[in-house]
Amino acid sequence: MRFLFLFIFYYNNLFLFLKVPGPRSVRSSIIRLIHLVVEEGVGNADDAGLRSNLWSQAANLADILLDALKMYLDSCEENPSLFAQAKQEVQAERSAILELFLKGREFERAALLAEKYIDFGTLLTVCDQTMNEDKLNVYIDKLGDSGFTEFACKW
Amino acid sequence: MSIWNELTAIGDRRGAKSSAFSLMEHAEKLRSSLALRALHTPGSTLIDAAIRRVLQERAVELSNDKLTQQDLFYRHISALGDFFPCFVDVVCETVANISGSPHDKVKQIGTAANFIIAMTNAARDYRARNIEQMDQCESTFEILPWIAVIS
Repeated sequence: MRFLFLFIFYYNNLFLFLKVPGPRSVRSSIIRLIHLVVEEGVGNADDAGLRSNLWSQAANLADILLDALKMYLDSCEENPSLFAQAKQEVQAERSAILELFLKGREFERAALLAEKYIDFGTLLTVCDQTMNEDKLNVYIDKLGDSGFTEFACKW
Repeated sequence: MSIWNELTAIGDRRGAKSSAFSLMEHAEKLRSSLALRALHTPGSTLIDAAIRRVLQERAVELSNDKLTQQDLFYRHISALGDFFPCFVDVVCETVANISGSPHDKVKQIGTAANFIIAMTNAARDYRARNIEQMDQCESTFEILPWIAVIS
């Protein structure tokens, strides 16, 4: 009887994130949808082609959101204190989104997004996880002036 | 007279923002709504359910026989942002209630993602084509696109 109770309790909570209404903003909704695509969609897809399509959709959604956040960050440049706050917020959001692709070992997609939105941490993680020194050198050449080399040394 | 300077900004609950940007935002929402409407074919149960949810949250009642729920929703597209959380709630509930068929779950999720991608791409494409017009208007305000607003 106790086992049955525990089973019912854990089963109901397993899908709690699907049942509870989420935060009421467009940004939060897009992030929630990306999680749904990656965790439930990819997790349930039994076909490599289907999984690839879903990852592509997740990347598309991430790109749209990161583009909007970049626009916001760029507009704050002339206000140093606001820019610093916005940069922290945007970096945290961006890293959290790209982490999904890294966890799913979608390194190519993660690298494309990270390069586009200048996420040095993700680029270095991709190079590290794929043990690709050539790629690292390409990034150093391309992004060295943006502080990538310094970041890589500290990383 | 400095009236021109007064016309360059408007206020909302988040503070002041550029008038040009505000107009751009409305145009983006219009494009996004058009994309949604194009996808909103008979039998689009996810969209229908999401629209019902939006109207419930807004406490809008069907008091006129001549206006459908779709009419009541699409006449207020400046608040299109309300659609997204309701839609994702509906999708999550639908997926949670599907039992025994992972393929059906995947299909629903894929369809839902395509809807949101189409809507947000329509907004972004419009912005990309018209950003120069907005750049010509002098502005000292930060720009937070409606897609990226947190609340």
